[in-house]
Amino acid sequence: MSRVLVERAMAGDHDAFSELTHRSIAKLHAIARLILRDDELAEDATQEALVAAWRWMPRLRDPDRFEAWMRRLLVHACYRESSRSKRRRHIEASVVPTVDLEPDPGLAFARRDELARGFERLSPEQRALIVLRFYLGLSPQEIADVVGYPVGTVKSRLSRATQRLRAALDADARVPVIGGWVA
Amino acid sequence: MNTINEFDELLTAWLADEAPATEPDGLALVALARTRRTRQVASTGLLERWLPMELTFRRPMLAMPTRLLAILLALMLLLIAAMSVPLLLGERSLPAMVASEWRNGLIAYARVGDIWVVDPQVGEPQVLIGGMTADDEPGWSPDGTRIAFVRDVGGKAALMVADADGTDIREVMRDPLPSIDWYAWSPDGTRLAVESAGRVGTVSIGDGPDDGILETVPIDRSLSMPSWHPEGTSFLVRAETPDGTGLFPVSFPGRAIGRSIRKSDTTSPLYAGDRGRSDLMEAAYSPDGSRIAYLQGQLATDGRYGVFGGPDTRNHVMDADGTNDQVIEFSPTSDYEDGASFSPDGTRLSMVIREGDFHQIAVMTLDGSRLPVATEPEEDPNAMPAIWSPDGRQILAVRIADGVSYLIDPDTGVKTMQPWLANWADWQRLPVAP
Repeated sequence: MSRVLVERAMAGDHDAFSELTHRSIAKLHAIARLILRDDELAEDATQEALVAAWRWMPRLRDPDRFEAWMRRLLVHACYRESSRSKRRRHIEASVVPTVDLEPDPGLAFARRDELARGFERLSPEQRALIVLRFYLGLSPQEIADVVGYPVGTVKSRLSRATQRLRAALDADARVPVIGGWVA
Repeated sequence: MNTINEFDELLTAWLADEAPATEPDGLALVALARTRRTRQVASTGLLERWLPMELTFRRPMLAMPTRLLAILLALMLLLIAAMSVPLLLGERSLPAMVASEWRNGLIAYARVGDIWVVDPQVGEPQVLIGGMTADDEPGWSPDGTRIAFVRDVGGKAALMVADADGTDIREVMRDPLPSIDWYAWSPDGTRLAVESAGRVGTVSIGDGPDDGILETVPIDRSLSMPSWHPEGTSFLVRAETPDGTGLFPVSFPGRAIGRSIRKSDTTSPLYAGDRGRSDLMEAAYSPDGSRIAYLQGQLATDGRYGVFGGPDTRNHVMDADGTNDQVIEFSPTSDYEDGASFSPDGTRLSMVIREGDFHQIAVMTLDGSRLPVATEPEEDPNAMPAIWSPDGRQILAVRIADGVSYLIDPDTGVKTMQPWLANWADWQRLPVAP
């Protein structure tokens, strides 16, 4: 991300912020979509994060940390959307793809489907940690900067989230399925 | 799953596949249209440059919109005027609030899958229920001796109860539910009203042959949090029934649906709003059961109907039989107001006031004997409904975005940030020692 663009946006140049937005919005939306598992909520969270970023840009302490700061705003916006939607009872049950009971040539598809179901079971906070670590490839220190926990807490929470995911996969894998291809 | 590396690789590949490659059409344009209308905060060389953002990420008073500042200024002047009335007229003084028969216990809250407790006087949170389980939404029993919470069990939701010290954790129901959207302790602490996927019922706690079974109420659909009458003889639901939609009492025992206390206007656009049928929501009895607070959208002055959670939504209070309905409004200029919560003595109502991207917690006296008070606006349009301390002397408010918690003096609106983060908090109520 260009430091010059960030500095111009910090100084109130909306064209610069527009350029920053166009460069980053696809990734931001992808992160929000992964965390929230809902198109509408992800769009809302992305918008909210961008509006907050524009408003508070003049007080960004270090232009080089714009990306991390933006992710932080986004993750908090995701928490907010998640809490709000839960409170309002408008989260609709996620539609889990129906498992095709035809024998699958490889195990990957089945594994991915199990992964999707396991991921759905995680809390938004746990999903955020997983997304930051495995989708963005951030280090525990970088994740700590985003979520605002100490590094040790990030490590333990991340470990816990991945263990839950692995446990879900292992549990699913132990359940015989009609057709016998997952036994 | 054979190895950690295999799992990591699978997870990374799956996330890459799941992530949308491009943003939805028009998202950037919509966001930038909003930012174009949004004023940036002033750059400053003050504390914000040096302190962690979570300590400074709030709106300075001077950056408030003029309208809001004017309202606050007017309220301060009114407060000063009201305080000077007794001095000028001699005798009349503000009525004393009724002393609570309860004292404050611990605040329980959920954080990343664990249930934590904190004594706000001490301020050192401790894990009450930890481990590898994913636990959420704690709620103290009415006598403060037990705590309920929702546990994720293989993707389903189990309602759990533990002793107040976190021991003797038990599953309330014999089988977990697809979800638990709300639960409420009965006043005598023997059972819980539960809402799950549009159904509502009660379940008794114990090991007897009739315990642990969710006895559902024969209604088509409920979207409201059940609220028990303080006598425990009924609870209130928002329901869609063959006879109409609205707020209904459900008798207990028997689970018979009574006559509607207030019916929805199903012809209004509000009823079929884009976020669902949510015209009457969040109904709750006052502590003595004589009144009901609830949330409803209103016909705006320009003829538009408000949408739940959108503009023109306001809190109402009515008598328990549905009469004497009145709007409890803090400000006619606010975007929307919700989250009503009765004080323990039932004389006041805390509410969440939202304007733009900010919210305030306001406290209204229902008989108008005191002027409303409100906190300084907080950067975050969303807040959980505030929670009164059992002794009625404090209010706990939580900023949804990051769980930052404040204790508010309900007499002045002055708030104090707490050094702990709370989500889904509940305040333990303990009897005053004789």
